[in-house]
Amino acid sequence: MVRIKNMVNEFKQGFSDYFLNINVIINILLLSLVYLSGVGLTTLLSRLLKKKFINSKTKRKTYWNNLNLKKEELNRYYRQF
Amino acid sequence: MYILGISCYYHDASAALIRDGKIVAAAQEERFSRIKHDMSFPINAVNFCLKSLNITANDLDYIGFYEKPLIKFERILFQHLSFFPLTYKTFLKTMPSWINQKLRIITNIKKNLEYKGDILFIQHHLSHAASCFFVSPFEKAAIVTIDGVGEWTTTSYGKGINNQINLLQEIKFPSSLGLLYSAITAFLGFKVNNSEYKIMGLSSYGNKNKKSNPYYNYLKKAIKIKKDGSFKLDLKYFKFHYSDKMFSKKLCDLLKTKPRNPNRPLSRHHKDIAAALQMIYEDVFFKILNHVYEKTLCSNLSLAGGCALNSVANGKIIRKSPFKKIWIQPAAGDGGASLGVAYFIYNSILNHKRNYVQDTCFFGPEFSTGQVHEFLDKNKIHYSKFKNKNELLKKTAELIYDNNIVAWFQGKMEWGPRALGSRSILANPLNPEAKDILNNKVKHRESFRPFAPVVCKEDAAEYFECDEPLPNPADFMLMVYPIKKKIQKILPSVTHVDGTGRLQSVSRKSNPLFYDLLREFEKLSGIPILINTSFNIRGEPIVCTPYDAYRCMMGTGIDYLIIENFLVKREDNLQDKW
Ligand SMILES: [Fe+2]
Repeated sequence: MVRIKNMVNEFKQGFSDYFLNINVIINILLLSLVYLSGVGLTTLLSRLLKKKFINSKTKRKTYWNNLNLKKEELNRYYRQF
Repeated sequence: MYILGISCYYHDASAALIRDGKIVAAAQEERFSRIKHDMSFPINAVNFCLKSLNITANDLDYIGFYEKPLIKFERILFQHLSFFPLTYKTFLKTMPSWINQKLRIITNIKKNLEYKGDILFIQHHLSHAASCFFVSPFEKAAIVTIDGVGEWTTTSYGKGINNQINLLQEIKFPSSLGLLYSAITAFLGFKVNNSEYKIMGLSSYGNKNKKSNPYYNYLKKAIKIKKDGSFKLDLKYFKFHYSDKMFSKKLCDLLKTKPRNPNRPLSRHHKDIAAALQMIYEDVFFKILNHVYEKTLCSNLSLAGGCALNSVANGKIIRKSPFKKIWIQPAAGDGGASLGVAYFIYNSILNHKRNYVQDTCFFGPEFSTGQVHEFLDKNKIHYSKFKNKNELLKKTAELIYDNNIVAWFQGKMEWGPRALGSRSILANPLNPEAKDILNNKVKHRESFRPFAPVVCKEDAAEYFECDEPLPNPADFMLMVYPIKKKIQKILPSVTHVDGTGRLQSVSRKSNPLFYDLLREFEKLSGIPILINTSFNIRGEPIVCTPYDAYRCMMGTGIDYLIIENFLVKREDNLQDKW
């Protein structure tokens, strides 16, 4: 009886590990697809248009950027951006 | 009015609860989960905060989150777009947590806390700024925040007046002093986001002469610094902007050496690299402070962000900048931002007058004598009980004076990364062997790191070449000062190689029991100073509960545990040794 129970448990464990692995593989495939199509194509486009997203190389007198961050309307704090 | 601040999902998750503008409870998640720098949703910390007032989440008026997740996500996406295809591995590694956690913060908060109320999002550096200004003693102050990175900002400054803050200028990712410090920390074989303070300690062993330390000039090529303190990193030496590695092969070429293998001993050149880094950090830091003073014309300075834990630089602020008074949030890193967001909501957004000055950091869990008694009995631990406070103080002072290592567990746990007399390990600073004993028996930490001295506030100037009056951040172990020459010989275990000490000053008002212990020790030794180091096992967070404390004692060579009114001797409980 104990042996059967152990076998069932091992089978269950193996089954869930298998699905976990499948899940990881699907995630990797999907993310890779998003990366190549979404990020890749946008990068290609932005490079053609010479759009820089970070680290502009322009020589500047100062690297300080004006911010002027102060209290805003209450509703703006409900936003995550 | 109850406001709860939350910070999580980067590192050092925490929660802070304020009631009508006063701090009620605050703690980092790591203390409960026992995972150092735990960044997961701080459910335990939140529950502790709520329980301390016997309220539920729906009694809260607001919950505040310490950053704007979508702006941060924009930065992450821009990194991927800028450095495609180098970011592929990081994309696979980090996107699931963005999809499942970081972009679902509202759902996560509501689900985890069964909360139906309002959630507000405050910019990361504004949260840091609020954490060091609204609870400072200043009506008006210049504010400086420096860290690794928030959403885009890595450094900002501005001005605080009464209950409003205006951050005037910023430096943006990828130029970051915090990330520069972390990159060299990694180069020297230490853990990023954990061991930066060790590099600061190591820097004292290196060559501090800018002309003769070659690494100073090498490393300066990696950062362009303007007169106004603004700076830009040369990205070819780094990798953090596209991978989970911090530095590139070019940095090795620049420094003409290989990165240190963590298992290999530290050599002369490693110490010189650490010194070069600290000198560059200070070059930039003091240029920033001078610029900020010029722009704000304010002689009070409030400081926060992870870099505000650089106590070596902090100790020089009064001498090297125009600022006359300083206040630094003891939880200066991201853990403290939860407190900042709560105060920003209360003071700035809701326009309440400021009514609180943070002169202590004891906001964590505490355990009554009854609870400790029950724990000891339940676990069949051998102990004795002190008749009164005087007996407790006298016995503890004697044990320390007799060169025992004594763990001290009293009252509410500290807020911030330092043990300041609630969850501390204490030792006799007059004992020349104390450092080695502590290292061999308990801490097992790098031999180059000194232990911190704790001193009665009124007496600090007698032993240290400190600013007078002593700035308040010294209460939180945030300032390093030279120890007076004649004292250095008497206190070798707390004197760093360069003759400095990271002192903690204690006033009777802020922690009467700890202060009285120092005075009791003075009666025996003639000095009101003890060695104070954090009560933890290497690699673990500081202890929180009586169980953690007892486990830590039995897992190390701590001789005695003074836990509330009880004395536990390790030797009497060897059955629990492991
Ligand atoms: Fe931060």
